[in-house]
Amino acid sequence: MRAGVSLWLGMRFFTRPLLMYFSLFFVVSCCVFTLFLTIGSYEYQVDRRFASKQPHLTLSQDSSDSQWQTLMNTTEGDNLKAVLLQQDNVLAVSEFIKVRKWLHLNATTQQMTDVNSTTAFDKFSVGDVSIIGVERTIPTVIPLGGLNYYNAGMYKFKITNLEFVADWLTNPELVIPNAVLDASFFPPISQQVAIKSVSNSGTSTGQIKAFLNDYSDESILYVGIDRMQTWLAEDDIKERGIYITLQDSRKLAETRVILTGLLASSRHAWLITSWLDEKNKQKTILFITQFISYSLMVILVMMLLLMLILHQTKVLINKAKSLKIFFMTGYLLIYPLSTLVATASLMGVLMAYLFAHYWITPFILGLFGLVTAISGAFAWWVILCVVVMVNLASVLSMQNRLVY
Amino acid sequence: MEQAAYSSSELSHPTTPNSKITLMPVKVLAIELQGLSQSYRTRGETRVIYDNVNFTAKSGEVTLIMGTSGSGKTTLLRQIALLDRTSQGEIYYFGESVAHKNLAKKAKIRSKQLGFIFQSYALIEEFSVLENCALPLLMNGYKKTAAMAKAREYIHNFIADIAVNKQPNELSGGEQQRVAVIRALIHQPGIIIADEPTGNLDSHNANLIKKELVRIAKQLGSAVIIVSHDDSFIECSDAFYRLEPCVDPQVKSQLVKVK
Repeated sequence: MRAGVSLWLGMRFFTRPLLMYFSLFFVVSCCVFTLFLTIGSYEYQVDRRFASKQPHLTLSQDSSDSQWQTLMNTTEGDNLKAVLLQQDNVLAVSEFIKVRKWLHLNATTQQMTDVNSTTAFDKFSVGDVSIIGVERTIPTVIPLGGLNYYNAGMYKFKITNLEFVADWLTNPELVIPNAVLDASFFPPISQQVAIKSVSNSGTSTGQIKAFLNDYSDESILYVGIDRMQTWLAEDDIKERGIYITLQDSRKLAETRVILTGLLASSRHAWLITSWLDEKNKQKTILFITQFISYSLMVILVMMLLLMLILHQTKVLINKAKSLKIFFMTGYLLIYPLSTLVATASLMGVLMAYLFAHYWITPFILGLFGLVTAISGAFAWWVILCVVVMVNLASVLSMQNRLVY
Repeated sequence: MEQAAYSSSELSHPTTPNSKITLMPVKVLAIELQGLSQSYRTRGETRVIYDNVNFTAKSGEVTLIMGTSGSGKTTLLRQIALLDRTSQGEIYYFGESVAHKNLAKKAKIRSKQLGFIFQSYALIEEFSVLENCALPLLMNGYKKTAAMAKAREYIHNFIADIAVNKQPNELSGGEQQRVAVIRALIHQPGIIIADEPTGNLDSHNANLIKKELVRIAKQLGSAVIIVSHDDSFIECSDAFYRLEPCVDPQVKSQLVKVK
């Protein structure tokens, strides 16, 4: 029999079951792609976000804004900072104010020195932004590590740590955004962007020095604490505290114990937290998410296998009379049917991949800011294993059922 | 064994696409069974249905096998048609040993050399009359359009009163069996196997089928093997075998040549 005719007959006879294969593989593959991409992106984001931070502890008080200001404006505040700075493993002590605001940011690019022409364009970004006013000390909790290169068309820019350090200490107008803001603007064609922010507290201007990538999932603008008043309004909910930047992150727990002991004698109630607390919390959430996702995937795959084999068996039993006639008259359905089943399942996977590529990936990008290629590769590996497993089971089932 | 009677041209069958209907020139040996046995196991015990069966069927002849219910007629027919495994004995189709070939080769032989007619008509319910008739042609390498055209031509010539687009469940028993006869003959097989072909039909339709089957088969020169209870087949058969209770108590039946 001609291969085309053989496949046509199989198609003609098993249209609905083949559609079932296609649909189930589409649904399960969509789930697998979504779960892998989500877990991968989340894991990568957690790892990078916490890896890129300068190790630090946060000291805060459960007191009103005015009480904090009173404390910091007295010698008690200065003494506290001095005592903290004297401890082993403490590199810097910086007071901070954190506030979350809805901002409309207008950015105007400026050409740098080694570029002769003066091209510029405007861009704006609207959204909820955390503004952190930090006392200008080095090292800071702002990730200034690494050497950054930016490609901008025909130009390549290099920003060194030294430039950051110098600018951070000397330029009071400097505003440093994180990766989420980076994504909000075009990739830099310049190392300097003048920004104007419009919020309910008024209009503020500043200068964004390049774009830093600290992989945080929240939009953050770092500004000098002395410039913070331009961003604040009376009714803003402010979080105040002290960042204690550490030298060695491995001694974090030890330092924390020492500082807790030191602050126990104070007449104020202090709360010491670490960015690792948040990391551990995120890691726990990640672990639970992974566990649930992988369990869900195993259940989905088992259900897929069970459903398809049961459905196939039911179809073969229901059509047994006709299939016996096919067998008697010399049409061995095993080969064309196996080919059709494999094709239908692969088509389902392919459609799911396209769906994931055009619908799910942009959603995950919006959620986490990045999609890892390795997650996609893992998803493909799992799905292809499932395709092979289901098709093998299907062929074995056919061999038992299609010989009368 | 009568292998000397074959010629090389007789071993090939006119089943390739676009071939014309050709008549078999002489009555050659189409099927030969040598020492064929069949048994089954039940409750740990092996029961022999028949043992050391020898049988021949010539092309252009009608060979009848009769026997009581449960004597093993259908089992023998299934074995002849290569549907069941043969553990002992030999089956020759036009001089070629076929009993021990693999599943795919047996299927190919069935599609090329055999035509089936059953008491239950065995039409594929999901297919129309036209598609049912075209099926053997499709299995023999015809293109879809060519197969459909030839099936349409056969239906027009032999069963013109049956609409090609009807489904089998829309036809009467007699009509279904006539479609089944066309399906069995359309690819001009060397061997036609009919299991109680008139069992479900009234006397009028039974006579019609009987005459058509014998006439067309003889015209094509195919070997027709009929298994039936119907005594009226005896008069139109060229050879007649009967499955009778065996004298050996270990064996259920024995095949005896009556005519």
